[in-house]
Amino acid sequence: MWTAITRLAARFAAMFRHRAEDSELDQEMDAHRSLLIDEYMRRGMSEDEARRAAHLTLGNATQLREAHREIRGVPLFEEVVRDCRYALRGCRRQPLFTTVAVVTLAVGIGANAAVFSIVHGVLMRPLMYADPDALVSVTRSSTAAPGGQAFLAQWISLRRWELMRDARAFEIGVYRPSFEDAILGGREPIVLKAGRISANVLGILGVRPISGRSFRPDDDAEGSPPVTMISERLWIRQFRRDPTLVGTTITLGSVPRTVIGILPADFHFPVRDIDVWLPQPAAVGFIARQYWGCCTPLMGVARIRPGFTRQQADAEMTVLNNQYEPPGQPRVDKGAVVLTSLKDALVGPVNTMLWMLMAAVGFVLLIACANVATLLTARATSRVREFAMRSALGAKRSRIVRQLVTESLVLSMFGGALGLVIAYAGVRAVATMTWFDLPRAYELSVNGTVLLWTMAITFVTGVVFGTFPSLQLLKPALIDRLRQAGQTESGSGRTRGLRIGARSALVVAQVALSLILLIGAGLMGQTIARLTHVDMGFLSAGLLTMRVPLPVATYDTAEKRARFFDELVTRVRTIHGVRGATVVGALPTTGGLATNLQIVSQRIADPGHTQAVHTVVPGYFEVVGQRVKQGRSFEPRDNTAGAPGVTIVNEAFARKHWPSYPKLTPIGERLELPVVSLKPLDVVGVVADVKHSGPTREAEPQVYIPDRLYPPQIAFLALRADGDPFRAVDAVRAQVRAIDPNQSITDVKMMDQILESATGQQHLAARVLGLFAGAGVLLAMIGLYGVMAYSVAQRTQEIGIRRALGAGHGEVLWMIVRQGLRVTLIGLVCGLAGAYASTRLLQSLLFEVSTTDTTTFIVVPVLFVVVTVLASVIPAVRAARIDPVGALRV
Amino acid sequence: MDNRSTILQGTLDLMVLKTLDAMGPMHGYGLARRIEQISEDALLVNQGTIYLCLIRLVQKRWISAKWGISENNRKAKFYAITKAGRKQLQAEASNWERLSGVIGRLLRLSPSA
Repeated sequence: MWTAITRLAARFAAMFRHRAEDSELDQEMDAHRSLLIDEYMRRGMSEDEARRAAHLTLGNATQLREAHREIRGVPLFEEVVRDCRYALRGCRRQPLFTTVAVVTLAVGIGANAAVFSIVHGVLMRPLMYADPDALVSVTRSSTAAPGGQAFLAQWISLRRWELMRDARAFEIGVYRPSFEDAILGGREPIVLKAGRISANVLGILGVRPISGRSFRPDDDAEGSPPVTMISERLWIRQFRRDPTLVGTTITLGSVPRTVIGILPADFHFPVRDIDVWLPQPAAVGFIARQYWGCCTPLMGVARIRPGFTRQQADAEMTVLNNQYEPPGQPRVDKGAVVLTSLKDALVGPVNTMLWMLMAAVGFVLLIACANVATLLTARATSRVREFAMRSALGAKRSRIVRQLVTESLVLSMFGGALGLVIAYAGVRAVATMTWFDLPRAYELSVNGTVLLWTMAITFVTGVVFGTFPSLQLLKPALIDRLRQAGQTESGSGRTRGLRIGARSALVVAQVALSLILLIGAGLMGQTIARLTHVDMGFLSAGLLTMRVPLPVATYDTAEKRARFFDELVTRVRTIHGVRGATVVGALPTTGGLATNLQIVSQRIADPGHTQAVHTVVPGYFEVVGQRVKQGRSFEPRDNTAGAPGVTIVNEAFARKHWPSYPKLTPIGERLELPVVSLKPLDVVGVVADVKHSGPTREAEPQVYIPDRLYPPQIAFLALRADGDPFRAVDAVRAQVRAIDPNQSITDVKMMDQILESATGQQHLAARVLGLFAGAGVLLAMIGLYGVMAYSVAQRTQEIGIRRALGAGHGEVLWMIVRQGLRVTLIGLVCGLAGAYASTRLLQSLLFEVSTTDTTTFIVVPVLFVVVTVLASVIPAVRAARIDPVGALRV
Repeated sequence: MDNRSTILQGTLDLMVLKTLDAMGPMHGYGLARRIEQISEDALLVNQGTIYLCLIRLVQKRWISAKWGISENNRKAKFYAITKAGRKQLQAEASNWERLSGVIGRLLRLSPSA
């Protein structure tokens, strides 16, 4: 073994000193020869005879030198190195060809590597938690009737959590599905993102602090000393890695809390970029114990206990479901709670979209391959003479193929290297995008697996498109080629009827694939256009929003909160340039509050009926531009202490409970909303529907109440201003501080940005598909142009004859364009069939557009034809300009 | 390489090692002459072939090469067996003895027995 390694090392070393070794061998042989001659002369030969005899005894010096080289070096490897050098020289000789080929491949490979890193990082890689297969998400099954708003359908109540805590087959932890705002006290208070989790969540996920301790069960107990864990990111950003931080106290939402530990920077739970974690999920939401069964603020995460199977856990869950909801006693969070693999729950929503992108990017790579194969075939054909010569000189066929494949591999290596740069940029762009919350985006990186994948596709790509021209080239005997090489191959590359040359077949494939991409992009583009034109029920344009969180500790009563918001709205309205300002508990698409509902006059049969409720400061409808349909809007007097309780409903609510609305009006009816008001509320108005669950869903029934009745702990300030509304932000912040120096605002955004992220998947799919389709069409055009230009060059003589026989410019022009059109049309037919079959992948992403949308299926191919004509015009014009005399003289 | 030449190659290696072990450092010419005498021309197609064997043994570090001056005052490479080479020689030699013993006994068997 050792000897073999030593020898191999020696052989590789010898490669670099062939010249020196050769001359040493020559010297040795000289010495040997002279010794032989001496010997023979001693035996009585003449010097000449002795010299000849010595030659015979020693053997053929050239052969010996070759054999010696082969034994001491690594011949196959050296051959490959030689081929590579030759290929590199070829690249340098044709910089334009090389650039086009390398860039084409880089786009194909880079896009592929980028999407693969996303698919791998999001869908394929196991979650970063310990033993991730035993982790499950605990939610209500989505078949449960949505209680007012879609997002509420999955969450569970505190009471349900209490019941599941004693499960034997799994350990459940709960958390608030999003984040809370927590104001970090200091000279300049800043708003942090706080995750609210039960103490055992970290243990269930298997996450350990990098410093300090984790939460303990008693941290969840009511009245236990307030503690917090902070993220490594915050520790670095805000505390400059202060090693003494653990054990000290920081003020979060006016509550002094002891920092007990620091969690690693790559821990993002329940959402990304959480700064601090707080225990006591029951303390959140300011929910008194008597309401534990009435609202559903929680999501659950559980670990199947060792020794139990998933089936056992499911079975126990069924038992618990029946215990929680005995027949005839539906609860507010009715419906079965089910366990789903945590990873599926996390990435399930983007599964289809990502695989769709993977398919699309596969098409891009195929197009790139076909394109380079076309270019290489054209080049190889022009090298027929070179290969014929080499073959005549004794090069084996396999040797020539190997060289061609080496050349294409060299190209694909360059393409792959450049592609990695593209992939890196692409992955960074996706990981840091703000308009779509891609699950696990923070985990994305160009890692080892991605590198391996890139290398693999680079290699396969190189071999595939390198073999293609060699097959083409080696079909007829090379000797025949040599004989023909003096002549141009007229007509061999053109199509006659349906018979298509191999080069044209490649172009057909490119046209077909890019048409599929383009149709996909077209459908997504239409979806985006429809989405942006959806009537949301209010005027989102120009509306600036920000979040105003009030700490529970200092704003513990409804009066304090109501007073703060009243004062805030009054002060903001005085800011120069502000035309209107209002405060609301939840902006459209950002969630909201839900409570039980009863209508005094008709008694809804279902006692578990829930209703979404929005608390607004009077003037809200006017500021956001939501029209009042019947009755009146809220007035300032509705928000004063002691005023009669009033409410406003939307039309969906009216239609649901008074089916003959608008003939029958809900105005004058009374609603019972037990969480927000002890007394029934009078309906005084009906407003237009707002699509609270995003533009792709129908508007749900909504109830609005003046904020005095149930002022939110966290509210949104929305304002309109003359000119750039962002200019008002500093003044707003100053006004907030003027009311309370410990307060701040966060998340300043235009309403349109919030709406865009509600349909982030569609936007991502549209942008990426658009990019891919653009690249695909461009590549297909380059391929078509290449084939046309090549064909014109090959047919120079034929065209010359035609011209000499009287064909006009126009006829020649049309002949060439027609040839391009024919190839394109075949490609289009194939592409349309392919698109018809594959656009259903987009089904779940499309909005108000059918997967076989007629307009798209007509307009896109027509556009394609136009572009094709453009791509074949340059070669056609060149053909028309051929001078018959000059062409025939060649 | 076919089987016959593989066997011959092994034999040639063994002979070179043995010769160098027995006679001390030698140059290629001397080794070729010596092997021709012993093997009666069965192993070397021509004398040049010895250098293919020598470079292989040098790369395996079983022998070492050093420039020196030949009897007729020419610069020549002198080969000497190394420690590793001696170890290899011992192993190969006992192998050969065992093998030739077996083959010898086999050939001595009379058809009737």
